[in-house]
Amino acid sequence: MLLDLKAMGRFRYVLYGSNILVGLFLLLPIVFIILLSFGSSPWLAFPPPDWTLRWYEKLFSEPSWFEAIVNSFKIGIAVTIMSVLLGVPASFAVVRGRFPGRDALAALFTTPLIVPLIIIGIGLYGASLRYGLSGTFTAFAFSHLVLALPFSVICTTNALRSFDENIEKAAIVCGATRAQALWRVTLPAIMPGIGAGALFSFLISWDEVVLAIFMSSPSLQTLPVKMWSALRLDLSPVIAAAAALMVALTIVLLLAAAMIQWFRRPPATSADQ
Amino acid sequence: MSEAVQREPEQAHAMLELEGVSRHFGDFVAVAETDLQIAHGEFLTLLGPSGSGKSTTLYMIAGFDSPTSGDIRIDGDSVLGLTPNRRNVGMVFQRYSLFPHMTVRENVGFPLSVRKYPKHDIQDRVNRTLKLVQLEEFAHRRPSELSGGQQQRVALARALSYEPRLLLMDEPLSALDRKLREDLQQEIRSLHDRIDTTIVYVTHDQEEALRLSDRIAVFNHGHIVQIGSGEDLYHRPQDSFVASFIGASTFLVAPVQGLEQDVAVLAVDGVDNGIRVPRPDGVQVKDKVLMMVRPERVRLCPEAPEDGSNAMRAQIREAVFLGDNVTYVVETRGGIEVRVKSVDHIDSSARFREGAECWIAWDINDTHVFRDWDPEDIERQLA
Repeated sequence: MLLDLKAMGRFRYVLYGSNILVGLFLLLPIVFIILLSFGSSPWLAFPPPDWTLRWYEKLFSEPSWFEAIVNSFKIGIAVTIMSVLLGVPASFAVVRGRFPGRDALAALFTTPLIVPLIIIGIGLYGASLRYGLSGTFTAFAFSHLVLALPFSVICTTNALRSFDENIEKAAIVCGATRAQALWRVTLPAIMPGIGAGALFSFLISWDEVVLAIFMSSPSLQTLPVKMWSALRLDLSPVIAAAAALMVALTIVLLLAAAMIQWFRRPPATSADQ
Repeated sequence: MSEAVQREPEQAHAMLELEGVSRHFGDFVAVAETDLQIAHGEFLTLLGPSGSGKSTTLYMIAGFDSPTSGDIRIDGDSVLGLTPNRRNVGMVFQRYSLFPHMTVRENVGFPLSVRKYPKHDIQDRVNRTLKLVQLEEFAHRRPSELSGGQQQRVALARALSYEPRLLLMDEPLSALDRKLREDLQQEIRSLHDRIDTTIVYVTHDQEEALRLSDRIAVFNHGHIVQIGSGEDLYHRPQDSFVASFIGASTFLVAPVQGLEQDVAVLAVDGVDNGIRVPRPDGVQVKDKVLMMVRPERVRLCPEAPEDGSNAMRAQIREAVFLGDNVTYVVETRGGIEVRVKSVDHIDSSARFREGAECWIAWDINDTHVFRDWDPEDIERQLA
């Protein structure tokens, strides 16, 4: 092993220490928010004088908060579906296609990752005004799709690149049509990549706020937008509860993905002869 | 040799027929116009170095590539208009090509399921085929839980489960280590004998070709340079490429110094009366020719032989004991390096030591002579 802990002597304690510090730096804000969301102080005082579930109750009972949660889900799911439906064919074109400008196209698919969000936001806002879509669900979902699509394309492209095309050829020579080979062999084989792309697409939309502010209207707000406007009006612990909810859903989804990976893994071989 | 070769040509209905098949990629001729007939139940190997056109030919037969010209017929019918899935051929690929998300059973059953066979029929056939490759116990496993050799056996079972009329194999063993490769060669050979399928096999490994095939087609630069049984190719190579590709031999370029009825005499440094070889057609005095002799045909003698064989004085440069034989490299007085392979004697005093003086000798008829050759062919042997 390149990095052998045992051979490092005392130095390894420095390594342990710095790792713990980095971990705390990343995790503590989240931990504080979650603690605050259960605290009884309406002023977000820390440490909380007492514990309560009041803010969660408010989050789910107050229509403006609950609608924001529902909107976030709806938009996230719409974005995920479109991102997969567009991302998978695009990945096939980028990996399998033979046409001039293919590499440029592949690079183009990743530009939303580089272009500043505010620029994309202004552009999309202008476009949605011009076509009369401003503040609609469609415009909202499409704006998030711009950000989600690169993740879908990147994940699917990677899976497809590592998939040996001979496997598909084998299916065809076995008697399958191209469509059957694609549907029964290639797509299932690259499903982990497609799934990862879908997961990222949802999560991107779920916690995106910059484009969401541009695309939202008083009647259509996602959870992050609602949190943003609530922050400006009054600093209520409901915001902490909403944040905790967002973190929780993200963790649950990532854990689910990890579990699926785990169960797809072959069990340790035991009965070898 | 096997029956397939000895059958009368009229009697043997060609299973697979290539007529004037060629494949060009722009200016590059991957396969020049090629004719090939493969009989029912025959095991034919396409042998050649990489880029010689053997794989392109196989992919055209499978239908993944289309010939620039010519026709491919299976069972008498042209298949050029058929996509690979409708040609009813089986194929085993170079690298593992199993469907990773399916079990062994599902892999082997896949061709049957896309053909819409009834469920119980699929069961039966999968069981039978798995038994054929001795993988019944692994039916529930995923490909990733199998060794490389097992995976290729599953690939073989998958290609056989629907009893295709033709089985194509593209270097299926090249990813395996030597021992496993030999085991599987034996298994493929015995499988071929039992199920009587026609097999077209591609390899660059001459030993594998010799071990498996009824007939071998040797490819070089997009041409079939010779087609015949392993014995034909080894004992009667038609050109210097075949001579150099199969077996490790000694090559020598020398001018013709004299001609007799059936014999040409070559002028070679350090040999007073020249070397006597079978006279090639149309050769003239002073023409340069390429001479080849197989290492196991050369004898080492302490004294000059008296039987009219070719003989040269030499010194042993290297003697390597390889168990069943001793391989020598000797250098003649004229500075020519000759490889000699001789069966070892239990009495090791009969073995020649490095540095010892000796004579090398071989029969006139064990010498192969070529009037044309590609210098690359000789270099391959020296490398």
